Order: sequence, then C-alpha cells, then structure tokens
Amino acid sequence: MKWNPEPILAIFKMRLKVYSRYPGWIILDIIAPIIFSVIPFLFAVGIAGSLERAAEIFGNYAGTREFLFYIAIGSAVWGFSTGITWDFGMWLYEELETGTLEQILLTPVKVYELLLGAILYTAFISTINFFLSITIIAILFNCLHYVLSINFVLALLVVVLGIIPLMGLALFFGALVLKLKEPWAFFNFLTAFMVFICGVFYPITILPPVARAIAVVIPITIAIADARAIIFHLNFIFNPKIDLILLIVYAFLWPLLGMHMYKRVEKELRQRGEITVF
Amino acid sequence: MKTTEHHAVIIAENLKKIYETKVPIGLFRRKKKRVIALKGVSFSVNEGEIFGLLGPNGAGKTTLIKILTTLLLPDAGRAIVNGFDVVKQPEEVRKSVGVMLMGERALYWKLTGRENLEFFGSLYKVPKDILKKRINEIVEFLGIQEFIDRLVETYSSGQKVLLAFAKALINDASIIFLDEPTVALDPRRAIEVRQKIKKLKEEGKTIFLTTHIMQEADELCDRVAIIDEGRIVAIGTPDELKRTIKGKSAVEVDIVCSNPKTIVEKIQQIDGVHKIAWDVTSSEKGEIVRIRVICDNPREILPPMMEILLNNGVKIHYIKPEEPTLEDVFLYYTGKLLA
Repeated sequence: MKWNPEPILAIFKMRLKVYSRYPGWIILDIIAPIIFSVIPFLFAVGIAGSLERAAEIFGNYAGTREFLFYIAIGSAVWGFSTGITWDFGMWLYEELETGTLEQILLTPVKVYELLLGAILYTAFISTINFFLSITIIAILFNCLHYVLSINFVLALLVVVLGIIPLMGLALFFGALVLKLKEPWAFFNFLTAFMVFICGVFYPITILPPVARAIAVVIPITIAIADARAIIFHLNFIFNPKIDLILLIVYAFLWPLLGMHMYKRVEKELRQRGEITVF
Repeated sequence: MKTTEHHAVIIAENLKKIYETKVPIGLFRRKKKRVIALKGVSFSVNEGEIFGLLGPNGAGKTTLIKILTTLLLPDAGRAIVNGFDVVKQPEEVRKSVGVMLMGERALYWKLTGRENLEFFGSLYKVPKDILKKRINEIVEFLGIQEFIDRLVETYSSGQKVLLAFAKALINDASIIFLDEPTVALDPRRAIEVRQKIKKLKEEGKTIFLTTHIMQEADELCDRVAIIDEGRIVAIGTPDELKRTIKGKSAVEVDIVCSNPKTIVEKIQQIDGVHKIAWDVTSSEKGEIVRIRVICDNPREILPPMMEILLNNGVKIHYIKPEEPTLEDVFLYYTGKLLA
C-alpha cells in the first residue's frame, strides 16, 4: 500500500499555524538566542577578568581556546536535541489539557505519525534557532571561518544522525508524561540533569567515571562531543568509528525502547480510562 | 413473502468495566476506590437505524461510548463495530466511525473552523481534493458558512457544538456516534440539528446517539436503550417501551415547598403508586419541586395525594394526569427523572 505522509504534514502545519497566531512566541524565539549567546562572554569576563585570560584557562582543560564558540556549539546542539526530546511529551500534555488529544486518538493516526508530525515542527523551529544562535556568535566573536568550513557540515551530519535516537527518547518521555501527568517536574529535573551530564558547557572528561558512563548512553552527549571534535580537532568520546557505531546502535535501540514503552503506557491508560485524564 | 433482514453493525456482548480510582485522604495518602461502570451490557445496533442511549449522569453512557470508539478497553466482554473488534482491530474501527463527544474543548481554538476540519480530515487520510469538496458540502449541509472561516475562539458554545458535529462527518463514516448533540444549542438550532440527523439516516448512516432529552429520543430514535447503574434496563422502539407500561398513568405535580423529601415519601405510601421521582429547580418564586408519579389509576391516588400536599402547607402550581411518555418509561425502569 502507498505510504501517505498526510497526517504527519497535517500535524506539522497545524502546530505551525497555532505558533504563528502567538506573535509573542516568535519574538521570544528570535530574541532568546541573542541573549543566550552573549551570556558566556559576560560570564568569562566576569570570572577570569578578560577574554584572553578566560581563553587561556579554558584551553588548559578543553584543548581549545575558542571557548565562546565551543560553548555556542554545545548550547546550540543541546538546545536542538532537547527540543526534539522534550517537545513531543510536552505537546502531548498540551493536547491532553486542551482536550484535543482525545479527538486525535479517535482518528486512525499511528504513533509514529504523531511523533514525526510533532518532531517535524520542533525540528523546523529548533533548526532556525540553531543557525540563528551559531551565526550570531560566529559574527560577534570572529568565528565565521568555523561555520564556513567543511568540518562544520560534517558536525551537522553527526547532529542529524543523533535525531533518530532522540526520537526514541522523545517517545519514552511522552509515555512518562502520559503516565505520570507531571511534565514540568520531569522537564525541570531532566533539563538540569542533562545540562550537567551531557557536557553542554564542558568536556565530559571532567565528570566522575559513573557520570561519564551514564552520559554516553544519552545520544545528545555523543552529538555534542563529536560535533566539537570535528570542528575544533579535539578528542572524540571513544574514537570516530566507535562513536558512529554507538549512534547507529542507539538509532535502533532508543526508538524500539521508546515505542515499546509508549504502546505499553497507552494500553495501560486505555485500560484504566486515564488516556484523557490530566 | 418479503422479509427485512437486519444487519447489526454495532454489537456489544456482556461488556464490563470497573474503574479503580485513588481518593486523596490527606496530603500524601490515597485510598483505592472501585467504581463499577458497566455490569455486563449487551445490545446490538442495526445498520441504518438511529439508536438512542438514555441514562442519567453516571449511568455508564460515556464509558460505553468510549469503549465502542476505542478510547477505553473493556475489562470483559466483546464489542464489534462495523465488523471489527474494538480491542483487536481498533484502527479499523476508528477508520469506520465518526465521533462527536461532548465538550467544546475538542477543537483547536487558535484555528478557524475550516482549518480544524482540514486538520482532522488529514488525520483520516482523506485525499486533499475530496477533503476540500467534502468540507464545503458539510458546511452547506449544517448551514455554518457564516462562521466557518473565523477562529474558533470567537465562537459561541452552540457554534462550537455545530463544528464538533461537522468534524464527526469529515471521514464520511457509515457509523456516527453523537454524544448529546443538541446540548448548548438554542431551540431553533436544536431542531435544525435533529433534522440533519434524520437526513443522515436517510443517507443510510447508522447513528448512535446519547441524549437526556426525552422528546429528542422519542422523535429521532428507531430504538432506545435505557441504561442505569451500568446495566441496560430496557430496550426497544419508543412505542414498544411505552407499551411496557400500558395500563399505567402518569401524574405530574408542580409545587413550592421546603420539605420535598418528606412529601415524596408520603406519596410513595399511597396504594397504586408504582414509581415516584422528583427534582428541584430554582426560580424567582423560590424552589419549585416537580414530582412525577407512575400509578395504576390517577383517580384513585389524587384524593390522598391532595390531602398530603394540603396538610403539609404546600403551594400547588398544578397537578396534571398525563398519558405515559418515554420519560415515564425511564422513571418506571430506573426510579429517576432524566432531566
């Protein structure tokens, strides 16, 4: 039978239309990357006294003096990745609260169509934010040569490859949200936890061994570290080959795990009559 | 001899459902509570008929409609919709039914009515050219041209109900579930919607309808099931159901009093009274109590009833013996007034 992407596109278009009817969101999404881009600069000057001194200290443990762009890459990949990870669950909860999830579940739409439709929207918005923040930093701090290099394109490919396992994580999180009905508690806890463990602002080599072991199970860690490794010629998590194999394994493992978890939770909630309870 | 074959498109066999809820009994402690919603419900709906489900709040109507539309899994029993098992083939069931559930939150308020219909039509994978044409047909059929291109957030409650009705028609399903379709509509719109439901039946659609408006059920439904406390207590055509209380009469009493419970208890003691139910409505004059009595013979019960009312200082608006209606059938089987 011919594959019909219409439900996926319909969810994408619907979300985009709703987004466009809240001008405040659009303005915030344009301003936020600018503000976040300037924070590391002020932070470095505030702590080290000057940009030069901050670069010297940072270079000692990270292997590159380009700390502003290093952090910008980490933040941008992290922002893009967490957007994809959380947004599906948050969207499901939003639909649950407004009463439209029940209506969606009455249609023959499949779980993967819901997921892809939701993620297509997030990826679209997050990609704009990603390039906006990277470009602002690159222009402000004279790092445009990094963006225009072939290595930057390779780094982007790693990030794109990381999207597939993230979709599994998104399903996993979506299932948790539907089951426990407390998205904000999860969101706040897991965001803080993942900023700490995924090496957004620093290399994960400075983490204790147990934390490092947990970190490499999360695909975002590999995406961030490898994107930096390619751009700044730094060390990979293991080596390029193993990191790539890990990402490919996660690209199968996480979606399978997420799908299993989601279907189990959905069945349980349909059984208990709680699929539309929030 | 020509025979009419009835082909059942909805079959429910011994459906049971128990909810387990947790009741808070302190800041962190919760107590488990079991609520039996369905106690073995069986019935069937024939192709092309309008089937009405009548029941008071908490009778199991919503649970039943949610099981039949796959939102809820039964604990026991079996339900077949359009030849598909609701548990084993939920996707096939969803493809073949249109559903309008109660509540105006079922729509995207930041989209226009047309955008809502386009979105839900796409989830049913209706091809674009057909979808566009179908939306125009539905809009014309329901007469909602005036507001279809406005954002839903600007709609009145009645307009939202009409859009939800339109949404139930978007996949052109042969079976349509309508949960209280005329609630929140003004009388003129409610009449129009009832006419549209009849028109859908003429087009060959099967309609499964829940309502608490007896006249609506009487006017629209080919057959009616009365559900109470998780059981179907009576089922048949409105005329068949009325015939089950043939030989009995109804008396309606409208009074103003402060102790309706005592009065009802006393009336219930009168010989020849089968069932009695009452409800209270507030008005400018105070609380008005409506009492409905099913009895063998109004002539026999009216004198003692008058005596009770007068001895209790009740202000009587009217006492009216009537022919039994579907509401009396409901009262006879459940001991309750529906609305």
